[in-house]
Amino acid sequence: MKSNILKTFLLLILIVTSANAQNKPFTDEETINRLKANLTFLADDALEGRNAGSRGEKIAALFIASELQKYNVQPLGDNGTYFQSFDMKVRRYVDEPKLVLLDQDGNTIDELKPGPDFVIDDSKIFDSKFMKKNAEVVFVGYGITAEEYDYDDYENLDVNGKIVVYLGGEPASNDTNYFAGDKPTKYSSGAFKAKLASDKGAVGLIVIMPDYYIGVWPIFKSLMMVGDFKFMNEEHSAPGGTPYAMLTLDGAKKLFKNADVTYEELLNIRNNGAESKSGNLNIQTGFFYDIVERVEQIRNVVGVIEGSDPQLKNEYVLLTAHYDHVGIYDGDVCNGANDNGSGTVAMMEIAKRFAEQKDNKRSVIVALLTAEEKGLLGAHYFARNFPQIENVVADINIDMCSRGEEDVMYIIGADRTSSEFKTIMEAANAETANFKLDASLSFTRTFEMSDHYAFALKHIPACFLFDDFRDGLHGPKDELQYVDYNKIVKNIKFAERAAEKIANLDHRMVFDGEVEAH
Amino acid sequence: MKKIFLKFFPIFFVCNLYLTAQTNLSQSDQIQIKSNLEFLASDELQGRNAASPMERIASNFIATEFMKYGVDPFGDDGTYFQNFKVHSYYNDPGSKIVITSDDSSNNLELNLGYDCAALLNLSINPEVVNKQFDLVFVGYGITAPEYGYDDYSDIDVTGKIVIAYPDEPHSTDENFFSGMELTEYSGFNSKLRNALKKGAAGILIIPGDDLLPIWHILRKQSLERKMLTDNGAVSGRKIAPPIAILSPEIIDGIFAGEEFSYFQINKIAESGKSPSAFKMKKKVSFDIKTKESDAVARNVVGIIEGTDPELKDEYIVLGAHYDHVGMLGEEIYNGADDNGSGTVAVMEVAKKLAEKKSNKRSIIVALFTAEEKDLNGSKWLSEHLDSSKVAAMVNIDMCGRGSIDSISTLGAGISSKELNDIVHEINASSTNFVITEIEEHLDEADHYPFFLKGIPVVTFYDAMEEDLHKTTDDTWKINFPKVFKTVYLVESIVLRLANDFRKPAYTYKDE
Repeated sequence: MKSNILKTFLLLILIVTSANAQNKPFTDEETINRLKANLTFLADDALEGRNAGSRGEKIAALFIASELQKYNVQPLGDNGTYFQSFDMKVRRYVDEPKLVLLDQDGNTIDELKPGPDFVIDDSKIFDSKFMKKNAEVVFVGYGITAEEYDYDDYENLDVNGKIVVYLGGEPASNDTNYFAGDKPTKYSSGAFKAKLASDKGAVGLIVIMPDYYIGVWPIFKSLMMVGDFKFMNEEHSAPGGTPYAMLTLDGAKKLFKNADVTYEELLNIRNNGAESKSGNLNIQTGFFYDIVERVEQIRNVVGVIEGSDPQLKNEYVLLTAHYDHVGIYDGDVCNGANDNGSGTVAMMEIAKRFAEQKDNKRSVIVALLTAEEKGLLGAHYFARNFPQIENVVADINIDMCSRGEEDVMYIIGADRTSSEFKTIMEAANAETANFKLDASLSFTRTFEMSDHYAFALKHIPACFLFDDFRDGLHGPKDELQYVDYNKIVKNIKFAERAAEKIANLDHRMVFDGEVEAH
Repeated sequence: MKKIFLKFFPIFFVCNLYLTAQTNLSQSDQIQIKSNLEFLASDELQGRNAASPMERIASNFIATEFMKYGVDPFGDDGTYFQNFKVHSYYNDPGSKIVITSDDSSNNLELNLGYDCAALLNLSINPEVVNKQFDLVFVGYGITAPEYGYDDYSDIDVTGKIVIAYPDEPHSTDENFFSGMELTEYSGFNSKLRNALKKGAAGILIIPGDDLLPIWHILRKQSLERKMLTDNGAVSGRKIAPPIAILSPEIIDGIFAGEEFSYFQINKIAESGKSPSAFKMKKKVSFDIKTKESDAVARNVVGIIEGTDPELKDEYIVLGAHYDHVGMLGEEIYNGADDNGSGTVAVMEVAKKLAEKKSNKRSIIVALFTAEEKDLNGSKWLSEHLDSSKVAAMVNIDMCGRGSIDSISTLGAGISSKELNDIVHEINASSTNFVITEIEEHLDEADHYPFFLKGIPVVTFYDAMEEDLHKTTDDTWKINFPKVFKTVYLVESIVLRLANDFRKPAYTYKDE
């Protein structure tokens, strides 16, 4: 009985508090209308997938800045603008690379296409002496020579001057004395195999993609053509090494058409652990492509809502979302409505609400970041160049928030960076969206996969809200029609409340986690 | 009337004086207008050329704003966009006129768009492309029997290209070329017709008083697109002999090494004599390629439905064109005043009207494309509306330059005395502009296709000339308080037209 009364009492307080707190200037209907309008602009084909460095990125940034100005958010970029611009050294393919297949007489018989058939990693420039030359192709099993197991895929083979094709991994084994049973040995490492093949005189390396890559295939596909970005004080990898490509099974099917080892046999080795064998592919191919390097300017869009407290306003709560996406792939515009159109319009809306209400003692910065898709570059740039970075007390980052079940969100990193942050986020959620929050990814590599990571590296409590959208990520189907606006609104209320709490705390949250750079 | 002297000065700090008295706009609406214009007239939008990728960006932007303002879509299939196919002709960038001399020391390549200009509505006859012609200087290029004057009397120009000196013989005698006043012989058209009559194969014009003020527009237009819609609203491009206008800067080079230098020719003309015709040593050929392309252009069209069950089936069209002239090479024509200013003003009027929702007639808000290409966008809309249902059309084409106290109108007086009276009456009780009614340029703004359909029309226009179709038509030069005033005036007029039971009568009589 007693406890029940207490419960009712607490509930009442809660209701009153949230009723007060929900005294926000906009109805959900107004908010959704604005979100739709903004997202319709940002995720239209006309923006060409908002690829960092492209025309679409510039237009998107301009649009966001124009909105922030209307919302009365103050500019925090260069020279009184909303833009924080910076130069990058960008390496791109001039045209799509191709692997042309020729018969032994040099007649073209087929062509492998980047994306569906293969990828070349990271716009690397290989040693020119190997480039733009046709060579015969040999299949060499796993590409392993291991004396202690009396195993040699290269036995009786001369691969000097040839391109070798091999499988990822190593021979399947249950025997701990043979390739350490089911544990991988050093022989399965890509670097080991590449060195061995190069030492034997191979002039090109083609690896048949292991299963675990096939799951994340669309990401490779989309990232391959968009360029390799480096800050001006960083260097691209030096030209060198043997050309290297990774092949899909579709690509393998074309490559093995006339091979001594048939495609079916290849699958049998790869998938069923059949005994490996080597053989000629009776075909020629070569690595033919050009790469161009140039300096491109890209830009973050940054605004601030100044805090009301004369002291605390010199500290900042940072709200981040990247607005860039992956551009056009294979003629299809990847519109990135969810990734990260959803987070972008959510953060713009939160900025509007703070600017309207001005209920923050600490200042609130809203940063719409560029080149997340190129390695969190906008976030790193901001983290390294914002003069008051020491005074940033927390980062809340949204990277995708409009797909999946409406009442589930992933919260990644609050618990890992600050135990108080975790508590505050949970309280904010309970008062607003009431999501089922899943924190299970905080201590996985996913923690490193969005912009908050750049701030966590600076030992700023940082967290990342994520809807766990994976299927169709970076593909042409990430479109407006699948966007759940109610879910964005819930995220807005949640993140806004959390930011408001942190902005008005009587102390600064402590970073008590562990984050290391890789 | 055409040459209104515009005093221009940065007015930003003076402007606050006007804010309360002469606008009805809140601070946030004022910021919104500014912000919208900064977007539309930024370099990123590359001059908003019709049927270019940037037309799509600009039109998306306007549609996005309409959605926020609660203006409903009135375009194709429930969208804000009214799409139409256009077929364009254009001169290939890289086209040039090649002038060669015997010893090649005075050879010249005149790049189209930079060193010379061609006429947009004429395509060079493909049979003469790259053919070499003799070149003849023909003095003023005038044959005027009533004055006993003929520049062609001693020279045969058959099959040759002529170069004509600008204007006409200097005279103080009223019986000879009307003395100080210029006769029609001085004009470009008259010289062109005369040259062709004399059998010339084509003409190079040295720009005179009639062409110099618009030289920058002519050169830009040389590389623009002549756009035809498939409804045949625009007449086709005509095939023509080589006709080009020369940049004032390259004339000296053309006469280098000839019997007379251009300096000498000028001296002769200044002394009151006519420079006489002579056959030149140089030859000329025209390396000008005409290309064609198909594209889709689009108007942005929204509606604020009327509240009156009967009158809501009638319309007031509120319009402005949002396109501009794009780029020339690397140069961007931002068109902040032309017609970024009208676009953001109309958007703002639409926002206020949608908030009030007090209009009995429905209001169609149309941001037109391709005004800069012969009014194609407004033509298209005028042909896809039942004109008997359109009570009036109100248009803004440039409203952010010049004195804050004045504005010009086009079309009102000639189309409808009643509409014109309403304009003056409302202005007198609100914005108090000194209104100049301009009678020229009737066919040069988007009200015109509606005027032709028998609809009372008015265009508000700031008559800015100094940066018109130049790369200097930029946002920082915009006098925003004037835009705010125009918003106030136009909103009041549109609302009055939407709510008066009586429609203004169309009073134009074609005589």
